[in-house]
Amino acid sequence: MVVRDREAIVEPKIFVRGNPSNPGAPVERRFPTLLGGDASKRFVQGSGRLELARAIVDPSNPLTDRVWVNRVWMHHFGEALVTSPSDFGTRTERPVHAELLDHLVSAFRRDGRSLKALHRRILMSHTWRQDSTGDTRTVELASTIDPDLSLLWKSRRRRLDFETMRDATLAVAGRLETRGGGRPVDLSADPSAPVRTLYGLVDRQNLPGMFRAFDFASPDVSVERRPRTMVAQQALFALNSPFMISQAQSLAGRCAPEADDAARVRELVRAVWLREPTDVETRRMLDYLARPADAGTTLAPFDRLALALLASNEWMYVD
Amino acid sequence: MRGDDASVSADAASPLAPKSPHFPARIRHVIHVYLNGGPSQVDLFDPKPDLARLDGQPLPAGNLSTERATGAAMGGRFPFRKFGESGLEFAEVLSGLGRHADDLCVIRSMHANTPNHEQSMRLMNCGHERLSRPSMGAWMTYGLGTENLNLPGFVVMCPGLPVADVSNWRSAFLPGIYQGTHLDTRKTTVAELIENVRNERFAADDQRRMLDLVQSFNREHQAVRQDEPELEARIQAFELAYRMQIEASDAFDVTRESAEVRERYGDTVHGRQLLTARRLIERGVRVVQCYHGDVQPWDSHNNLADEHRRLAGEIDRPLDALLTDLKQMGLFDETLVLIGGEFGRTPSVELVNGNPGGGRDHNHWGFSVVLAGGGIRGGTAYGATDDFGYRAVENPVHIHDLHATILHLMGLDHTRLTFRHAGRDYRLTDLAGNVVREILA
Repeated sequence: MVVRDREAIVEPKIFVRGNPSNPGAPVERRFPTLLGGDASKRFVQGSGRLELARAIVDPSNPLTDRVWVNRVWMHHFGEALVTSPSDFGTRTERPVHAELLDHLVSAFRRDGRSLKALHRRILMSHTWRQDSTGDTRTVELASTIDPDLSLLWKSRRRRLDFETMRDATLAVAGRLETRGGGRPVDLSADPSAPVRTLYGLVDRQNLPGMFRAFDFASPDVSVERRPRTMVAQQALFALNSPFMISQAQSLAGRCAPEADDAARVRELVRAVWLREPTDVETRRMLDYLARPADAGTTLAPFDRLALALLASNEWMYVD
Repeated sequence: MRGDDASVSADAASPLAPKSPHFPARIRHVIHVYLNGGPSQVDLFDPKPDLARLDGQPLPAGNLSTERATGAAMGGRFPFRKFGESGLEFAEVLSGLGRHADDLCVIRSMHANTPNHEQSMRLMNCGHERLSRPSMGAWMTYGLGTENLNLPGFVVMCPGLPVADVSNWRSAFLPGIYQGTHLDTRKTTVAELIENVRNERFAADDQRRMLDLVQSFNREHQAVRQDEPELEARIQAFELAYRMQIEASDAFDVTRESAEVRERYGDTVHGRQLLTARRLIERGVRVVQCYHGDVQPWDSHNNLADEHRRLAGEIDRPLDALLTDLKQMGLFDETLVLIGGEFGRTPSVELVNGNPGGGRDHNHWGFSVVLAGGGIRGGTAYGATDDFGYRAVENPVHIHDLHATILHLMGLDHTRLTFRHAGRDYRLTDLAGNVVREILA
């Protein structure tokens, strides 16, 4: 797809209250003076799209890279350095780590704006590699001084977001298709489609309930970050959705299906919690498996156990 | 019908457990019948003989417009009638509502800030036009908890989504558990209304046993992570979900009502919504919002006479049935029913491509809302707009004042219902709001 200027360039006017039938004063085509100052030059080449693009990435404009790097940081840490990621204006709080942001921005520019290099720099840092429990010697004091973690003395505990939750569930069930590209898949019509959630069809007029329940951003507007809710619908999805039941069955089926119960429990726990079960946990799970099900329950005991593990907080949170 | 005692005491630690108000409350529940889009005050609630007299002529007060170009005076399109002993006036298209006139208070001097739907929806719901702030329902559930822990404390029904969609019932910086639970009432069966509310693969006791196992994992996981409130919230979300399966199946199933009752409400989306609202209030749900429709149905820029007649016809009978039921069941005195939109409409006709189109533009300068229920002085009109119904001139009531008044009825001091966020205490009314004591019984 190519964007091309019209033959006759429209001279823009302000639409009062956004209403195109209520045009106001004409406005010169140039980089917004709010950002570029009164010295912003008028655009003279056609519509000015190319000049606008150049002004956005101009090395003398620090805003673009700061906004960009700040958002990458936000997605890795769960909170941004500038906590109003869509507002770098004068009426927002000054970031606690302004120098860190500028340091990363400088490096980002030196690296030719390589996103990969930026990810690597962040992910290899000591700061990012901390866990969320913190250094026990400092936890008590630090929690008092900085409960919001703005000083980054430990990591934020992170709940899997919608895509990560769904993809991870498919992955642990051994079903995830890792291919890239292709047409989107309607996940409400085919909830157990093993595609990465990224390839789920987003119907902007009618966002599927599953997307909404898990805080998917409104597809109609620019959203700097998703809301973060904890609602019963999320739990109903974990307990009852055909998707989760189907994944639990796959998961149970691939964890040492020929072995004895204790060995199967161990395999399940290793797959989901990435650790060995404690003796207490093993005993509790074996007791659960041994109890006969009531009439009406048609899910096999190990399938139910797999579903329970996938509903646990330990599965949904990353320390 | 309310959550049984055992379940309440077991959940005393829940963020939704009932809490004491600041002072004795007049009401325990709110039903907000949200006529989204901007119902016209001069056609429905606020009779203006002068406007009718000048119909089609220029207004002496000049051109009363807000956003779009408007033309001559446009008299109210429906005859008004005096109802009840009070003689409170409503348009005839709202005769069912009018039957309850002696128990209704019309505030005719409402005003807001901006003649745009999105901002005004947020102002009406969240007390702020732009920034992410908790909704009134979220604040009330935060302040008072709810009386039935087996159902969400704050339920929102809409056939689709209103303008500004989920921001209308968000919890913003309040804990997510206070967010409204939205049901798309274009769907009718419980299983459709609440996704994943049934599990055909488990007998009920077996599902409980599985959930007990999950929670035992969660408690051990939580024991060494006491600094993380979210873990508790997720534990509670599963308990709520489990109970919702049973309780919701009952509460949201209007087919359990007799044919006579369903007939009175009417078998329409609006009838079902208001009947469901009554069933939820009965069961102790704190706040129920029922939006009239997807996007902004009351937004009659053109052909208002037909549009408003149809819309009023859709809601009038369910409103009559709801108010009648609340009274008969003894719930009227403990419930506030708020009926209205996010703003009103201009008294002058909107010009569409330069010509009168029989409709009206948005108007935030003056509009009406109707209140009914506990603590409300019935049979009264409060405040007034100018002779043409354009601007609130006598005892103006801002949306912040309405919020302060509703919280007051709930036993909450709007200046004391606060939440510490980003370094300061926030409240629904921000730095404004005065309780309108004159409308209180």
